[in-house]
Amino acid sequence: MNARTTKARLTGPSARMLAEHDVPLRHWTVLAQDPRILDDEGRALTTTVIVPAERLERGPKGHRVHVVDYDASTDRYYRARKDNLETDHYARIRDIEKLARDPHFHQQNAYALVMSTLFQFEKALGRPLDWGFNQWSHQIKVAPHAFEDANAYYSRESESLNFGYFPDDTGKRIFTCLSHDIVVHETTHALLDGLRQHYLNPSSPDQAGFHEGFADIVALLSVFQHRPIIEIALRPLKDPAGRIPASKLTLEAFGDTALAKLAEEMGSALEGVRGAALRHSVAIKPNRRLYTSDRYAEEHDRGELLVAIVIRTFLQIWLQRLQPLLEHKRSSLARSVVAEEGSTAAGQLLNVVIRALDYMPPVDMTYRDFLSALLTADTELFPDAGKYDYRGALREEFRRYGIDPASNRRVDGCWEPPPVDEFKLTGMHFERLQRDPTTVFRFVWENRDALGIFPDAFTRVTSVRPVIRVSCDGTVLRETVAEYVQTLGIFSPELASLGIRKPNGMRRSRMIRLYGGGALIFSEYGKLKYHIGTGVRSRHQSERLQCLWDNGYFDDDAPPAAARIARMHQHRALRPLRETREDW
Amino acid sequence: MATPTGITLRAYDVGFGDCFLLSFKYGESARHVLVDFGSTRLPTNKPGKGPYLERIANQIAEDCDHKLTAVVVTHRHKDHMSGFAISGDKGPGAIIRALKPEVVIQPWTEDPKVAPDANGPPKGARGARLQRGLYLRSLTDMNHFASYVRRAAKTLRGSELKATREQLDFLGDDNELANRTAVLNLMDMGKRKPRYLASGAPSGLETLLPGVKVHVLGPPTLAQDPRVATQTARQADEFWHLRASFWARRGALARQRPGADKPLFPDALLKGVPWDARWYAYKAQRELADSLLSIVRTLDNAMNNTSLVLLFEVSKTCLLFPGDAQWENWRYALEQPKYCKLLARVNVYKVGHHGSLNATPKSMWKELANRGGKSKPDRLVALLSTKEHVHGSEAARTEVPRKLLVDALLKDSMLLDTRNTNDGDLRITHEMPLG
Repeated sequence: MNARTTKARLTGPSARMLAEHDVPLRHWTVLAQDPRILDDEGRALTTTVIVPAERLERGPKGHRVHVVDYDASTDRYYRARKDNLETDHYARIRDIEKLARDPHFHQQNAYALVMSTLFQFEKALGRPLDWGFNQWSHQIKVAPHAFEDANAYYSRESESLNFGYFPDDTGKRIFTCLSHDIVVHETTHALLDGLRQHYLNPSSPDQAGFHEGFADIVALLSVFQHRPIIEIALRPLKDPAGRIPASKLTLEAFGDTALAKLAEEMGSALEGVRGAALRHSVAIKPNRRLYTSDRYAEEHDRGELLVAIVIRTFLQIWLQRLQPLLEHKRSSLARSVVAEEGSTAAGQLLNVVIRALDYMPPVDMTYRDFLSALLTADTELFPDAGKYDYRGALREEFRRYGIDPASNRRVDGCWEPPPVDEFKLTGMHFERLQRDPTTVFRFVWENRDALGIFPDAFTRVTSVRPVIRVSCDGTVLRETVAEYVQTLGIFSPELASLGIRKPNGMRRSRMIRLYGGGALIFSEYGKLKYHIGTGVRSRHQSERLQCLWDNGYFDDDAPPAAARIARMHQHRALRPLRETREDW
Repeated sequence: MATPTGITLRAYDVGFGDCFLLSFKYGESARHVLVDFGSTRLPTNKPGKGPYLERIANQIAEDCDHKLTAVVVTHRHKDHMSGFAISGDKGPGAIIRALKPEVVIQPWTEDPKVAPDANGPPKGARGARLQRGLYLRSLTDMNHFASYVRRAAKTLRGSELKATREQLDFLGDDNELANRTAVLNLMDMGKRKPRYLASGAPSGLETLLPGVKVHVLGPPTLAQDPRVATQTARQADEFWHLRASFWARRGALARQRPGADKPLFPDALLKGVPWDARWYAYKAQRELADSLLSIVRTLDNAMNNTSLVLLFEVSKTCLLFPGDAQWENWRYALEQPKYCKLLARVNVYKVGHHGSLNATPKSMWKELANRGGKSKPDRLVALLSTKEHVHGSEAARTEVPRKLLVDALLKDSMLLDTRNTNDGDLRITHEMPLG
């Protein structure tokens, strides 16, 4: 790359200055999926990801990610690369065994995938993101060989992503840090926790399913935006000339054959570590009753339902993009062309999905909220739906599974703007409103009636972020995104005074914590564009409490937030019954 | 000999474990049923010489006049079966074997006829056969993983992890199948073919104990209680696959070849601790400990739920021996009106799982109508065999025995607690005249 040749010619401080400013981005080689998926010649299937160029220390340790190669199971540390830290040493290595036994490659793979996922989120949201740790900390710890177990998890408490290793059926070691989707999945948990800390709290089945479902969606789309893996997925569809005939450009062929086969190849060794989201997403066929059916009431099943909807949307968009490229009904397309369109569709849909997060309520979300958020986020940046109408495809696929937008007052399903005239801007200063939580809190306080804030609840503004997004059609979106959260602790007999039903059997001395909160989106002129949220007195609180009660979440031994992702992954396989109110 | 004239209950002080002898008297003679014999933590301060469990076994032999009618082993935990271990022709298991029980009764999950399934279901199996095979294989994997947990606990450093290390060691020890000899001993100890029972099955004691009806309340088979969020057979198959695969992964860790504990990358092994990794390493060990504990607790619960739940009915008297059954096992019985009627008549309740918080489900406790204060006629007798400060912690409100439960037992029953055994005694005895 340019940076390297330039560096070679110049020396001293000027070289560093030039390198940093000349090439702000850096490519790193990673595995396109995992060591079991090889290319047509049986070599390692690698790809490159792009991350911001930064000065690295041993680890690699950059400004957001610190790889710590510590194994807690054996209490051992493994050495990191000592020199040439900013060089990609694996660009030409295709021997999978060589890569699999090189700890420095494991470290690079984990660093690059975590960093590129963060970069993808920051690009999509138009602003830097914070991790969700309890102490303010900028660098997430990433342990590629964290423990000997078939698991991988994000932990808020240890500010880390932890990837386990374990023997497969033949005794050969499987390293979860080498699985592209698993690394991105865990990184997404961490990023989502930074954006929406309350989503790890027990709430509705939708919220419980969302963390896992969303992490799966980002992981899968992230893998699919790399062309090599899509080309592999298309293998079962190619004709003798290696092309994809028009007859195979169907939802069934792409889903039931190509992706199902890929799921199978990705599946067996890591069964139980990752969910079966890809396999199931192909198998869960549309049905308007699914969203409300008992079959999808359990949180992991519910997460898979969300994945199914988004993956089907991806396939629909991909197919739409291919139609204009076909000359006639009997022609065929080169596999590389089909793959290129797939990777573009995956990348763009991934951005749409990530952008929706800013338009979601900070507490107690539902899938219907997610759909309205998706539609609003995309409409804001792409006022014109464009040739492939991603919004239309999303809305249609959600509808086919029984999910309609939460906002039903607008035909387009987007959130409804608040009545601007009811809001006061007394004492507001535009510059401060863009970055100062205390100023935003004053706005919230002065407008508590218009926002429906319950004054007795403890209210705080949790974040204020200026945002700049630029779409490919030239639209510039300049917004300020702020969130506030409300908590109210009351005893169960007091629920009735707020119009909330107490679950049957709950003891009177039980302290209940009610949550409320909202996302505030200010325009570039400081006017409130959207208020997306739910109050502590919302009519949904009765349902939420009942759901928590039925699921045993009021047990005193509920795991702390820190352990929830690890536990969530464990429960994905075990699906334990949560009926422990019979305890002493 | 038609009906017993009285019952003698003996609870042997085995520390943290269970060992009961039920003696049904028929005039001058008696027939004896031994329910469980095992311990994970022996009582301390007991005078006397010789291996403690052998002393208990000799005491049992004396108490039953050297002849047992039946041996019941409620489930495969060490604290319920280690007393059946045998070494050559020695050990407590040899002493019990010499008492020539007519029959040995265990839960259906121990049936060696389904043993091929224990290594995994036969190829092509589907539905009930597949699910049972996967379930049984999971139980085996759990035993293996328990031994791994004991080894893994040793690498956890620091004094603040001491309590967790001890819990891991305790649960690992109780769940691993270290002593195969006890299992093998039980297989052919009885004169008759061993019985492996599920809820509703005939006990096989009908002719051996005249006038005594033995009801089997649990454990349910998977077919009886398939309540695992499944609606169709295919989903159920998938659920059991997923669950079995979870335990298979853990079982495989335990079965790794020797040398698997060598460094992953010997050439890259670092001596010393990087300064910027210390904080993380400290936290990571804690999280690993919590994760191991949560998995081993899950498997401990699963094993407890294989417990045989037996109810002995002798004319108007009912005695309930539920092993360590927890809610998932109890739930099925509690939904059967006929069992609820029997529970209302229970006079003796063997407290589940040494008094832990979750083995006396509150709705079951409420069914026991003979609960009540001291003035209550035919007041419930509760048998508790336990040792404190072994399992759980008061801070986490998981101590065994759970104080809240013991308080309720003291208030509403006559509590016979092995912790109150006199130092010189090996057992407490309770006589129940009948008719």
